[in-house]
Amino acid sequence: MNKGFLVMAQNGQTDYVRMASALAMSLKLSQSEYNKVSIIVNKGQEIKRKEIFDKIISIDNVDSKWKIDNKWKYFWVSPYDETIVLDADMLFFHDISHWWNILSDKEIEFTTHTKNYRGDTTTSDYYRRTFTTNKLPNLHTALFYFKKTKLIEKYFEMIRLIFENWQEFYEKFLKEPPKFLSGDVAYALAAKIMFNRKWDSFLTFTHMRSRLQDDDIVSNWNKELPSFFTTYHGRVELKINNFNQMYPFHYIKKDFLSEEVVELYEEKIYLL
Amino acid sequence: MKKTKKNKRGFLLYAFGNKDLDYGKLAVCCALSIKTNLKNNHITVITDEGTKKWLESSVPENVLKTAFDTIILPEEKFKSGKRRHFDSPWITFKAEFNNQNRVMAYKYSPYNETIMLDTDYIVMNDNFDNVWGSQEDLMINNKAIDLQGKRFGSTADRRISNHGIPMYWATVVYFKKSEYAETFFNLVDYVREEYNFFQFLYEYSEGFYRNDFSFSIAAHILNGYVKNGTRSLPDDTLLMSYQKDGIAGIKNTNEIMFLAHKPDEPWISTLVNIKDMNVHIMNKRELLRISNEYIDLCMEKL
Repeated sequence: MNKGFLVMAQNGQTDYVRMASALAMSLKLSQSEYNKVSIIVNKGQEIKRKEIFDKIISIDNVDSKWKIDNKWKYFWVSPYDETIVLDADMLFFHDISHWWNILSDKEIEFTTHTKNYRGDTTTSDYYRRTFTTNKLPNLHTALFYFKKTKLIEKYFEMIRLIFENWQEFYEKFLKEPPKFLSGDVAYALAAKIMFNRKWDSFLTFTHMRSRLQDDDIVSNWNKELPSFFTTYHGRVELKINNFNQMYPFHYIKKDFLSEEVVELYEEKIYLL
Repeated sequence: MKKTKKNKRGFLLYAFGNKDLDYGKLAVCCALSIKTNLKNNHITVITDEGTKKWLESSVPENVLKTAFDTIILPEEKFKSGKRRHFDSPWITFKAEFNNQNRVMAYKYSPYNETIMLDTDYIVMNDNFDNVWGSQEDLMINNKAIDLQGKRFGSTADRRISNHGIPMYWATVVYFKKSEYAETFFNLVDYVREEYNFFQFLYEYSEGFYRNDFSFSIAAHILNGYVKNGTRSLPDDTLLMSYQKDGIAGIKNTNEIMFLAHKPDEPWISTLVNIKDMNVHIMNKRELLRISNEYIDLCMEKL
């Protein structure tokens, strides 16, 4: 089976391609078995380091701030039989190749529990009140897996329907719905409608939303917690407040990815 | 001293007395509490010439012989400092604090398996008999509660700083002669030597040297900079009596009544009876006040 990672990086005000490139380099450096990464970009998008990507997939641009309107397309654009979808603002420091073996028995898996920088499972629903209020499955699309099967194609068709008619779906199915299209909510709603199953997965990542960290960090974790990158046997590692980051790292704060960090990855990739 | 199979396992105490606090006497209390409650009760005390002489002159010979099986006078001299102590919420005093030599425990312990205890720790049950033969090379507790069953102290006592790594309490430490434990103690010594640098890196409070901090950092580093890699002892929570707590009386060797102060209303104390639980009595003067009575009770049993 052909397996790989897929990242959507449609540039607008934010340079997602730069973040996706750093992510791809971190995967190349950290993954021992599966390290193919494909990127989804706007048509005509220039990419500085094309060689780090397995496939570059061009799609039509969307006119929205968060660029999530195309997030239902993963199933049809993915070049892989088995795909792990990632948000662009992530980095990998440790090998998760063994996850693929566990996932190969499944059709679809979402991250359902996230970690904070200390490695503790997060408990706050500060950012997920819609999920709590509506008893939606606690799915995170920043890291999820799917296999190309008939059932999963139907699931993505449902997601497409919700993306294209999100106000109607929100009104019909959700109490106190968000006022904007949320990828996580749409995926969770489609899952609730389509699957009668419990969602509880081993998939996880470190979620650096500030209020998921220590109680007194409320806005900018990257300004309040010291962090530093180190290299170890050719691999890049990150310590935040002296805690080694062991899980896929979703940094959220875009300015965390400084030029120095990108250069560090470029230097290490050059040495491969 | 000839090693027998029995004394390949034992307890290690540190007792460096000064003019304000009789750590020798505290070590005698701790040792006798071990002798009273535990089957494996071989005890080594690391001390200095002055404390040894003081003990010989102030404690009856039969008590000393019962308390300590081995006395070691180390060659190294470590820096000592002064620290502030409380004796109830109302009295503070400063006393010499000689705790940096704890890093030599690995070198000086005559045992294959060692439990190192603070001398102000009183053993009142036989839980430590279950520790020996552990598969772990090193065990330290990282949970502590006060006499009223609440998590001990502030956030800074549960972590070494506000956002810092978890606190491991150097009050009770089990270690086995092994490469891992040796590396651990070498690392503790390195942190001790570079204490100011690590203070900057780990943001713990400035002040006198604390073994809790250097042991916590060494454990954290050896665990690969992640949480919870070092196992706790089977009795995984330390019971701590604050320096501001008092002692109301001793019922017997395994039952002590405390006056637990209320931190935000220190004029209010609660009578707390502690029975068959090991307890770290941080108010050293208070422990010294009852020490003769406690020693007599233990000697009657032994």
